[in-house]
Amino acid sequence: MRNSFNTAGFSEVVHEIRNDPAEAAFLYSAEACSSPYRGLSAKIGPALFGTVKSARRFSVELRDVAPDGPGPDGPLPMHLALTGIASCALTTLVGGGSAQSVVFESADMDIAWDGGAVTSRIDVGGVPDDATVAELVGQVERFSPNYTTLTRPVPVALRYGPDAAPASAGTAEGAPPTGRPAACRVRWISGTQLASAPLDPEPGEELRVDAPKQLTGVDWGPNPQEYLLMGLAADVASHLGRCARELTGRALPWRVVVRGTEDVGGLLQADPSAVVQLQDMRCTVPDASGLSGAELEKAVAAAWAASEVRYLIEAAPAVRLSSHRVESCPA
Amino acid sequence: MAKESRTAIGFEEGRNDGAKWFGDLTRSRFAGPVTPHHRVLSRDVSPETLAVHAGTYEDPVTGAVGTPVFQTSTFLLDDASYAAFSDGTSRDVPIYTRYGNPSQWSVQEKIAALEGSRSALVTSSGMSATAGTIYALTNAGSHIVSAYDVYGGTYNLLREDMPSAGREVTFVDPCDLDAVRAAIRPETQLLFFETLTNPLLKAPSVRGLAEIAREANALLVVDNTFLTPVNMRPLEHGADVVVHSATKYLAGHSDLTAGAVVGRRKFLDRIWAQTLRFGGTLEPIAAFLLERGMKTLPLRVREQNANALEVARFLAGHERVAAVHHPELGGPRYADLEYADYRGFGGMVSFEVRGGDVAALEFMKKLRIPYVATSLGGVESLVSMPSNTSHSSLTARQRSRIGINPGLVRFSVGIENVRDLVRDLDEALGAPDEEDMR
Repeated sequence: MRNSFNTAGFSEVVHEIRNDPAEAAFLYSAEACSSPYRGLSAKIGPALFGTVKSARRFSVELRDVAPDGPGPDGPLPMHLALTGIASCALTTLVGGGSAQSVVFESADMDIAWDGGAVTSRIDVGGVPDDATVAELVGQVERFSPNYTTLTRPVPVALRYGPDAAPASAGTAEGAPPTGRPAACRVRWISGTQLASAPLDPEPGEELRVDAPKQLTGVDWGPNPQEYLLMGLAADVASHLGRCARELTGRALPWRVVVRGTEDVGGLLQADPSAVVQLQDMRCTVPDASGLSGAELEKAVAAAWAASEVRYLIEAAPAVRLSSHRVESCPA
Repeated sequence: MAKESRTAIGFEEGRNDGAKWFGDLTRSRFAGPVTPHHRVLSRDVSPETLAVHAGTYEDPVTGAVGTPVFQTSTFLLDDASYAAFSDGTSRDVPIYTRYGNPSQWSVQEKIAALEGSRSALVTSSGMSATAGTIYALTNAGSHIVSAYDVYGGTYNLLREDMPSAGREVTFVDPCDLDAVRAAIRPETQLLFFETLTNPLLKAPSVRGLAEIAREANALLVVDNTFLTPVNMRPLEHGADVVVHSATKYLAGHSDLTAGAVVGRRKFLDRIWAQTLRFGGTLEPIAAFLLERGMKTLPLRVREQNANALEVARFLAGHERVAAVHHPELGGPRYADLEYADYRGFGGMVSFEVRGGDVAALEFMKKLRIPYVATSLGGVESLVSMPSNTSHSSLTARQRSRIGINPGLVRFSVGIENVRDLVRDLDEALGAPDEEDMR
């Protein structure tokens, strides 16, 4: 297969959802836990691709976002979010290029968050001319679900407490207090498989990205949307642990569940009117941890306001994307 | 032969070199794969006609009436082959027999037609079909619900291979829909049941199972080996995928080993890819034998339905028989059975010989017509005991729990004259002695 990308499989999805739009509704979920004893972790939940379920088991152990948190013992939640955005951009680029018979030698994306803006750069190898690169990157800017989730404001509904009641904190505005800058380099490997490595001064473990096998992948890792959702869940969970501790003096475990939908007709342009970016984003904090209602509301509001990943999704921060064509290596 | 005619119908329409984005691509899922030379009939045609004619390869060179045997491992490469490799459509061009062969496509079309589907896949055995299906349709991290008395080979696959493959399995009574529903988890991805169970002939509600699967966004896969499409088309009752041990009724002559999977190409293409990686290819000569055997499937199965019922009725009245399992004899197990969903129940009868396994073994030795052999569904009657064959891997307690009691005999009734079979059974059972009757 060209670029190991199953173009025929995506073509079949295009025609399937034109016949049955319900098959275009993709649902993703992720969950994060912040524990004073077991640290910060995130995992994905079962995904639904139209009428087909994909239940994979992937989890990531993370570094706490607090400035005084532990050192280089895992990625930050922001690394997961950036990995989700960049891997979606590269999958869109390679997939779209494969559809028009482009053969790639390489495709990498560096992406960095400095606390207020995102800077990114795509390097493409094997593509014959700059015009093709520009066209492909333009398609990423328009059709990549996660990249457009970054560049367009996407509201996230916040619910908390035993009844999962809607929270007014879901309307938090303005840039969050600056946390740790984060950057990673995402490298396209083959087909829908990519690897992401933190670009922080300290080395970090590579994160694997892949489409589920229901969508032509091989289950090598979570998919880009799931990384973005895990990043959000973990960021909120981490801040909840810190904020609750500052407010009440108690170190408590927290669980945060995030879900979101994608109309894949937007990515594939099976339906030009379809929304490309993620939709129906919802973040739920189901565990009240024994706090009073007022304490819980304050902790949730503070964590929500402090979450940089939440800001990334909701606020459409400044984004700079550049691209570069890498000359082919001589044979 | 023109090159266009050797590719599957729909393949050329799916080639598009001018696409600029996914939305410009032109390949959609279609029936088959079949070439223009394979006979495709409307699914409204009667099973007898479909069995004879569906899928026949009408050879444009020789005019052969029967499907030729494409006994080759490989095929000439051409532009279509290269396009198939490049686009990921190698199921639709004869390239290499492990990927596909017109002999396989012929019998696949016949099976698909009989099951009322547009696509089928044949494999090297029933277990190859089952394993390929389960692996292809589930992910590591998923959960499967199946029956605790499912066929031994399937049970072993689910119990011994799934944990190390990252799938968890819950076993339940297939007729207890409340138990099935209670077993569902968020990660439940597949329900695997048999339309008629082996060896106790339980008949779970396929409609009920399909409803539970739909509510859970899970897939319902059913093994329809015992009923065959002649007696039930499970896809019409809500099943997503049907598997067969084609070794049994579909082939019908106990002369080959094969499996089949039927359903939408959305699922079958993934099962095909899994099966070719596992190496579960059906040899062209076996595909030919299967296609030829299936021409008489409706005739054979109707005869076996009738013969088995008569045998069951005879056994039910015999004093050396403690219990007989057959849906048409009724009883509490079949109280909720929707008989209108079935056109028959096949050739299987299970019964318990008084006196336990020793008496059952003695009885089988005295039979003169049926062969004492495992397997089922052939034209010849076969008889065996589950306790020392298909279910021998279970402990005595496990066998007892699922209803395989001492003395249980599984009788696969063939198409012999049923009067001969009944006389033979009567003589082999003989008069009861005092010890047996206790």
